[in-house]
Amino acid sequence: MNQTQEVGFVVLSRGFLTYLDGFPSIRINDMVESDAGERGWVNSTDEDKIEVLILDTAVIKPKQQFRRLPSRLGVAVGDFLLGRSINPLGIPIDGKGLLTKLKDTPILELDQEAPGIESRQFITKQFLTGITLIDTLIPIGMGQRELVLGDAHSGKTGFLIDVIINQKNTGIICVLALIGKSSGVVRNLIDILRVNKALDYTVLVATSSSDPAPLIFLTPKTAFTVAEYFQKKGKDVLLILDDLGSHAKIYREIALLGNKPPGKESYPGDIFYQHAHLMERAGNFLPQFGGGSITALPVLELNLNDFTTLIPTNLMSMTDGHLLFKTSLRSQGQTPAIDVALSVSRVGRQTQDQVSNQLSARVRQTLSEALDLETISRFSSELPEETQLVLRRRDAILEILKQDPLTITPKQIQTILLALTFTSFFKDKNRSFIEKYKADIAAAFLTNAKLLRISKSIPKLKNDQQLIQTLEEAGPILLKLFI
Amino acid sequence: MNNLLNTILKDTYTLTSLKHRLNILKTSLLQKFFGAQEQVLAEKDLSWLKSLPTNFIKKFNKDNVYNIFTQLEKQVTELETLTIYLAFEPDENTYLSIGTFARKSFGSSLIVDTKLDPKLIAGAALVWKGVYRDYSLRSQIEQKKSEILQQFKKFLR
Repeated sequence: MNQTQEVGFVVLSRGFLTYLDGFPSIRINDMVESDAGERGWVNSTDEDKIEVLILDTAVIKPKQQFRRLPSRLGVAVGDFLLGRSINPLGIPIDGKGLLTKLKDTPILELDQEAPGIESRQFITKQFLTGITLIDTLIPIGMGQRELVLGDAHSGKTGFLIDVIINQKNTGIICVLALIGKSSGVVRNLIDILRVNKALDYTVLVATSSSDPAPLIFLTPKTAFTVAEYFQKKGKDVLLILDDLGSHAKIYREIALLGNKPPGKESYPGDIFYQHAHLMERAGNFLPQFGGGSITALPVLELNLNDFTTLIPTNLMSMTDGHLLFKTSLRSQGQTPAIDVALSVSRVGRQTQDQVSNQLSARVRQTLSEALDLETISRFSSELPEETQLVLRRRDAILEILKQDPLTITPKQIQTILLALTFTSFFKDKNRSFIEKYKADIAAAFLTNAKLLRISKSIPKLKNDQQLIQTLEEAGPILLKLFI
Repeated sequence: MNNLLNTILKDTYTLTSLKHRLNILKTSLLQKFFGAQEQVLAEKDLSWLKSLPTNFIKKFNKDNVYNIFTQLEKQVTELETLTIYLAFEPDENTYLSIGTFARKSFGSSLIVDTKLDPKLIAGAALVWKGVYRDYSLRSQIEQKKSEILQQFKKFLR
C-alpha cells in the first residue's frame, strides 16, 4: 500500500453490489480493490457512499477495507489479442498461457465516449459476407450497425460463424463478444473457429453464465474497446455482440438489486442509453481518426418471434437495419433462414455497385410479384404461362439464395447466378435442376474458358439489362455442359 | 438525543467499546423495565454503568427505550471515525491516551477505530475521511528500499 491513498469501508453489501464510504474524490468507472484482491468497479456515487459492482466471486464482509486503484476500468490491448480469448478484464480464458504484453502496451478505458460526427465519413464500401442473400438483397456497408434477431435455433450463430470464417484473407479483424453464454458454447465456438483457421484474425471476449453479473455486463464494452484499438490502426473490424438480450437482462438484474426504479418490462430507465451508448461507437472513421471502420452486428434472441417488445424495438431504432431469422424458414430448408421481406438494410444499398443494385431490385420485385400470384395459383389448376414463369423464377431465386453452412460464394458469382434466373436458359428449368447443378454452374463460371470470358466482362456493364443480355450468351455453353 | 450520546462518549473513545457499552446499557435497561434475564458483567462494565448520571438513566422508560437505542445506533454509524492501524493490540491506558489526544486535536465527537495489522511492523497507519496515510515502519522501509538494499549489497561477496 502506498503512503497516502484513498480508502473506504463496506457499509452495505447485497450480492455483487457493495456500498462503501470514504473515497473523497472517486469517480464513476474507477476501480477499487480489497486486501484480498477482490476488484470492484464504481457504478454510481452518492453523497455519503459509493455503489461498487464486485467483479470477482467474493464474500464481502462488513467494514472490509477497499482501496482505490490508480488505473480506471480498462483493458490491455494489442495485436497479441489476435487468436486469443479473454474475459472482459483482459484475462486470457483459453488456457494458452499469459498474453505477450509489452511494457508500452496501451491500456484503454472500457467506457469511452463514442467519437463525434467530425470523425466519421460516409459509408461507401460494401461489407461482403460471402452469403448470397445478404450481399445481394440486404447488403451491409463497412461501418454499418445491422441487428441480427430471431428465435432460438433459427441459425443465427451458424450464420455469424460463416460471416467470420468468410473474412479469411480479407484483412478484416473479427471481434466476437459472447455475453453470458454457457461455457460449453464458448468452447465449441473457439474449436469451430480454430478448425476453420478463422481464429488467427479473431479476438473472442467471452463471459459464461456462471460469471458474476457485473463481469457479464462489461463484455460488450471490452469488445468495443478491443475493436476500437484495431480501428484506430486503420483496420476494418467486424464486431459481433452475441447477444444483447442477455446483456439487457443482466443490466436489469443489477439495476433491480440496486433499488433503481423498474420501468417497462422491469428494465431500468436507462437501458436505451446503455445500448445506444455502445452502438454509436461503431462506424466508418476518417483517416485522421484512425481510418478504420467498425461494422457491428448485435444479436438478439427473440421469444416466439415477437419483435415488438422493448429491447428489440429499442435496438431496431438504434441500428441501421436488421436481419430477421425465422425458425419456420429454417425448418423449410432455407439457410440462412432470413425473412427477406421483413429484413432491411438502411445503409448497405449505397455501397452496392449499380448493376447489383438494379438486379437486387428486380429480384425483390419478382419475389413480391410471386407472393401475390401464389394465392391465385392455389385456386386454379391451369395458370397462364406468364404466371408460371414468375413462380418458376421465384423458386429458382429461392434455391440460389439457399447456402450451406461454411460455404462462401464470391460476389461475382452471386450476381451471375441471380441474373441467370432471368435468362432464357433458366426459363424452363425447375427447382431440382438448380439444386443439382447450382454448385457446378458456379464453378464453371470460374473455370470454363468461354464462361470465364463472360464473367470477366461483367464489371464493365452499366445496368442489369446488359448483364442479363450478356448472360444469354452463356446459355448455349451451359446447355452443352449440363444437359 | 445528542446529549445522551455525548454523555456516553465522554469517557468512551473507541468504536468497539462504544458498541459494547451501548449493548450492556441496553441489556441492563431492558432487564430493569421488562425483567429479562440478568447479565453477568465485568467489574469495569459495572463501574461504568454506575458512573452514569441519574438524570441520564431517568430519560429512559418502557415506552421509549427501543426507539432511543435505534436512534443511538444510527447516530453511531454517522460519527466521524478515525481508523488507526496498529501492529500490536493496545491496552486500556493506550486507548485512553490515543482517544484523549485525538479528541483534543480533532473534535469532541470523534471516535477511534483501531485495527490490527502486523504487517506494519511498527508505527501506525491512519484513515481519516477516506484518506489512508501510512506512517509505519513498513512504508519507511519501502520508501528507502533501494538505499537499504544498496547497503546490504556491500556485505555480499
